[in-house]
Amino acid sequence: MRLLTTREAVPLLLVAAIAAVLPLLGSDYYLGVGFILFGWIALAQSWTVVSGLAGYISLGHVVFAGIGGYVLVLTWGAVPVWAGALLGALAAGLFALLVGLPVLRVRGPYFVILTFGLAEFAKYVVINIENALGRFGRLILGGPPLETLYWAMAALALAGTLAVVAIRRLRLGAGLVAIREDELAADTIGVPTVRFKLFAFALSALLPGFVGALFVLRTGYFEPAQAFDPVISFTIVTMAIVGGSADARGPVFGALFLVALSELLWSNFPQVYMIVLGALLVGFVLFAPNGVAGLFERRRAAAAAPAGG
Amino acid sequence: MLRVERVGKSFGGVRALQDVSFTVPESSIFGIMGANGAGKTTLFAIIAGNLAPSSGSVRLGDLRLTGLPPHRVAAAGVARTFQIVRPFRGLSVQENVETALRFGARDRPAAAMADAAGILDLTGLDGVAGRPAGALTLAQQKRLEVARALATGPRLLMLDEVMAGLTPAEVQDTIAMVRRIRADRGVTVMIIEHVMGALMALSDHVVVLDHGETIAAGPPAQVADDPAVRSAYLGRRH
Repeated sequence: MRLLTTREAVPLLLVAAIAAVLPLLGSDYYLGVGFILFGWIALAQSWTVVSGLAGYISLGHVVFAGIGGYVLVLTWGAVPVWAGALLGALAAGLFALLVGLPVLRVRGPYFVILTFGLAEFAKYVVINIENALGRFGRLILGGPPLETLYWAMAALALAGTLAVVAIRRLRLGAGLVAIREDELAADTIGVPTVRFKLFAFALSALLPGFVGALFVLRTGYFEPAQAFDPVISFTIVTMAIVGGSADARGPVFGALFLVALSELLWSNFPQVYMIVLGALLVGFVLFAPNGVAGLFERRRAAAAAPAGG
Repeated sequence: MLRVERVGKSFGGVRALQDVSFTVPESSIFGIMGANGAGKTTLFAIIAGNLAPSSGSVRLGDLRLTGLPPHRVAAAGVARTFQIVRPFRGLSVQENVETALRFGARDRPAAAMADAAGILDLTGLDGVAGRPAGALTLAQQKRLEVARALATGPRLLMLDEVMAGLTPAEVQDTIAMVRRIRADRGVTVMIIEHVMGALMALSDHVVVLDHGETIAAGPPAQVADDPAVRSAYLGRRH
């Protein structure tokens, strides 16, 4: 087996190259854009583990980022910054383990709705806790500088990409794909479906917890409605639709595409941004259901067809 | 090797199986006959762990299979095919087999991992290995069911109507394939089939189910002459 196949090397190299190049441009603007881009890549790769590979489409992935951010502000001052972020990631993973067993019993649209509802539920729980405490938003001052956050987020994006590449090679990945294709048949050939799903769900919560903590460090502010904003979940799904979610390429393509689009349009033509986004979504769902990565695949298959018959 | 002991299954008020008992000898080809709705597929689902019986138990050697989830039954060395095929449609034929090779029976030789080519050859799918499973013909998908089950490295292979809907020539090929599976791999085979001639030709032992009950058991020739079987299949006047 080759060390890395093209579909594995492309996303890894792309993330590493972008991470290396952006700081050379010498402006905080590019570091800020890069920080956001890597945040989305890390989120979308995590989502891909449970939704792309195992086919359980989560529409509530923001909940893990929200928990990560919340744990960071709760532990702010009590533990070192990075320990707080790590605790946020672990708390998100633990939450996924706890809710995973009941939630992963349902499939298809029921799972979609349940994850969405769960994230909203968590949001209102946090809002009410904060209200009861008389806290309306928390400021954190003296977080790490942008450059540090940039490299931390780049590391998370690379870790997420590497995780998807690795999982796809492991028995775990083969089992998750079998679950996506036909869960009953997967179980019957020996895939421990319950254990694999739960593990994938918890795994897909860890990095988002970390990302959420970094987002809070970047803005210097925690506000539940913003940290648990469902639009974040929708955006992750949009990236998967645009980029694809069968392997590690899709999330990188999707995040790149959407971040570039929003940087170009949002600043110049804010009124058409949502229209363009909507049209793109419809277009991709209709004409390229496997995203940009799927288009590459199709071209390769077409090129191979005359030879292979 | 497999002992089915007084297995019963009710769906609400409907009794799909009642007090079914038999033993499948090691390395035999064991046929299960019966009209539609006789409970044949239900029986396979119970043995494989897809369904829990309402009463009775199933043992593989010393191991009690009843109550184990399907993946544990597979790990013990039991594989089944699905009458209504359930391939991993988005994966290639090769990937279907490779996935099953990574799971399935717990103890098998390390060499088994490199066995995809042998299995595809045995099931006559070597020519379509790269094709998506969803794009195969029904006859090919039925053979993929067998290939995937075989790739789990079973001691006991349960085939659920793998010949239904095939042409007579394809039926002959499938009979030869089942014989080869037993000869080459020493696998015990349980087979449900509507193609009566094929079942009689293949099986060492046969049980006949009718409305969830065993009405006859024994070597094929003896069962074919059994008056209870004749009346179940042909009506009382014969």
